[in-house]
Amino acid sequence: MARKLVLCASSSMLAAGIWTGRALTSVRSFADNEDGQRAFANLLRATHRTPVYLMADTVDEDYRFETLPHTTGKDRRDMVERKLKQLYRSTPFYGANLQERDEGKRRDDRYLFAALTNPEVFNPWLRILTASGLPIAGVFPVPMVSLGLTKTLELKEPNLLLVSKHAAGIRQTFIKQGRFRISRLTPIRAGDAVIESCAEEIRNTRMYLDALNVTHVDDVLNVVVVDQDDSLTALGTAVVKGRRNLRASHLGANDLVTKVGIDRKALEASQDALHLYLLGQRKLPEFNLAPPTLTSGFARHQVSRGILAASAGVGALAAAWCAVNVYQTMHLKSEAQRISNMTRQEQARYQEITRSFPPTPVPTDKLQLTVDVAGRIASMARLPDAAFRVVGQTLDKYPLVRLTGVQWKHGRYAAPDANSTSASTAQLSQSATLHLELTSQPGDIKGALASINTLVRELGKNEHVAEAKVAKMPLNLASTGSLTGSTASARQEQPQTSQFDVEVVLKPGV
Amino acid sequence: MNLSSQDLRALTKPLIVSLVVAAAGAGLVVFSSQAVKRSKGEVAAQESALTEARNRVQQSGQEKDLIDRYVEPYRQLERLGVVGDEQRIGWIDALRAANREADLYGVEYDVGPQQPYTFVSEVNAGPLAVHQSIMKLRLGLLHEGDLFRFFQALAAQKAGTFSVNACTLEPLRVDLAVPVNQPTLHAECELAWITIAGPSAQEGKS
Repeated sequence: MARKLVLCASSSMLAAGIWTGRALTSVRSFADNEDGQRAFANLLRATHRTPVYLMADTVDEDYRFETLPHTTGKDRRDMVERKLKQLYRSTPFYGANLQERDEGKRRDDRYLFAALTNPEVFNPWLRILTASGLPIAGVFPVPMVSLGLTKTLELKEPNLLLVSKHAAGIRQTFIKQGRFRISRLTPIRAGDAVIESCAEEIRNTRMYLDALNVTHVDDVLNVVVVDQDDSLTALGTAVVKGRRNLRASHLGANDLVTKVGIDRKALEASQDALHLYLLGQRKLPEFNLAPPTLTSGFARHQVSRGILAASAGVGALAAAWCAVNVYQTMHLKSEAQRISNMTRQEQARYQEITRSFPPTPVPTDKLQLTVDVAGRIASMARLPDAAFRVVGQTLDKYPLVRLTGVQWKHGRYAAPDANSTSASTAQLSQSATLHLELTSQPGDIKGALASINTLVRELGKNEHVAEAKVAKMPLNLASTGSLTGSTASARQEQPQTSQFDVEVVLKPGV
Repeated sequence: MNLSSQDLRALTKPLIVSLVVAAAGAGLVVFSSQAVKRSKGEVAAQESALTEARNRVQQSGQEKDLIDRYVEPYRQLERLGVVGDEQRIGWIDALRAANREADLYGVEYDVGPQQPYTFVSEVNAGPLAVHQSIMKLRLGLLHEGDLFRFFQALAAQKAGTFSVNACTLEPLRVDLAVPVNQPTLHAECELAWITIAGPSAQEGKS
């Protein structure tokens, strides 16, 4: 629980304490004069960014119950706001709280409206608070804070009158069936017989309740005297004396220390210490009379704290994630080290085994690969003899054809009808370009061409030949080229020669 | 909800803190996640190395058989000059001897610089470094059969391994004024002398 500055302001003084989350400490009182206000301002300077919870303990307060038609949401808010402005025109410190719904057919809503009718009492303190810039959580009426005591002490009597002693006087708070109904503050005048005066006030209150029909004359009213300085020990006896419809019990300092949990030193520091403690315990009392302009700083403070809390959550999540990752990394590194050790053991074992092996110039895999590659290189090597044999066998059948030159190659060859001619699809083959000369009768061009074609077909039929074709004809008969010559030479009787080239490709593997 | 300048001023610091925390948190998470990823990769690499080491131990018997089978052929290749550095003097000597044995009229040669072997993919050399040096030959022949006898004689010298890439044969004009035994054909051939890298410096030490 967060640190709070809890205050209780009355017409004559202001009590302050620091709620640390579990205990009330540094309880001090400040008189309503210049010295007191200066001391209070110094206290505020020392409590940096601590939210302030202010209790108002004054006779200038008003509580009333109103029944309004049942509505929800914005309609309800607007209606309640209109009603509040109608009831309390002269003060900004007002509020309303839905108590219950009527049992009747209309099921109307029953509201408690409350206000501090004379805000001038708190203005000096509020000015100092506002100037300090501390976030003000709200202004809460003392009776609403007192309700916390009934829960802590488990006071479940149907008609309960809490009588408590404050710096401002004696406060009587009537609680019926666990719900707040009426509260009165009576200042203690100097010189009064306090016990008798208080007893008289309580008896009057009883009669007032009967008059309002809040209680019946035969109902037993349980009076609980909250007496933090043990000065009202005799009050219970005085109240019930001669009254059958009144019962009284006393809660002294020891009871409050043991049952409520407040520190004795804090309790003794101020008559408002008990309520400061109860205010500190409550997260945010629901009955807040402060106007929104006063609590805007607290809203910012809450959002700021929310953002910081979310940041802390994100940081914690990231830290947890990192911790898991670091743990996992360390585990993996340890695992890698373990496997590395095992690998070294296996390698040592292998070294031990290989000591008995014959010496090798290179590792075994390279040894095998080298020998295999050398074998493949040797098997791929070709001499031109196979190609020359194929050509020679064919040319033997054509005595009029003479070989004038040959260019032989062994390399990658892609078949012309293959889809791709890239080196990856090409195969190693032998190929040869034959430069040939044909002796033919003069003017017998058709006969010469027929002989050349027959020769090429003959070459192509050889079992070792993949392809044979004419690379260059004696005459360029293509329609796209030009053709020149003389018919006069056709009359000569001497045979003529025609040069042509043939390309032969052997099958892969030959 | 409308935020006033006062609200923004009040929320600036927590927002900066939250941004710093978020950025730092994200950075740490990313950094540590990458460390986990790297460690996983390291474990995978170590597991792979362990598997390999275990396989080598398991296959050590088979490895001994391979050594017995391949070490002598490998030594033979080293002796022939196929494995290791080029033996260019040996090639020239082999050319002279082959010319003499084939009764040719002399061989002119040019040897180019060493380069990667052209058909390395065809021989599936894998990581093995295979090189070739191109030798161009020009020689006179009496008959085309002399060319094959010359290559057979060259191979018989065992000066290395070579493959013939190309040959061009052209007839020579015969000078009738000169007595017999003169070349009738001119041949130009391209050979590739092939060498395979021998043991590396590290392998030689081990």
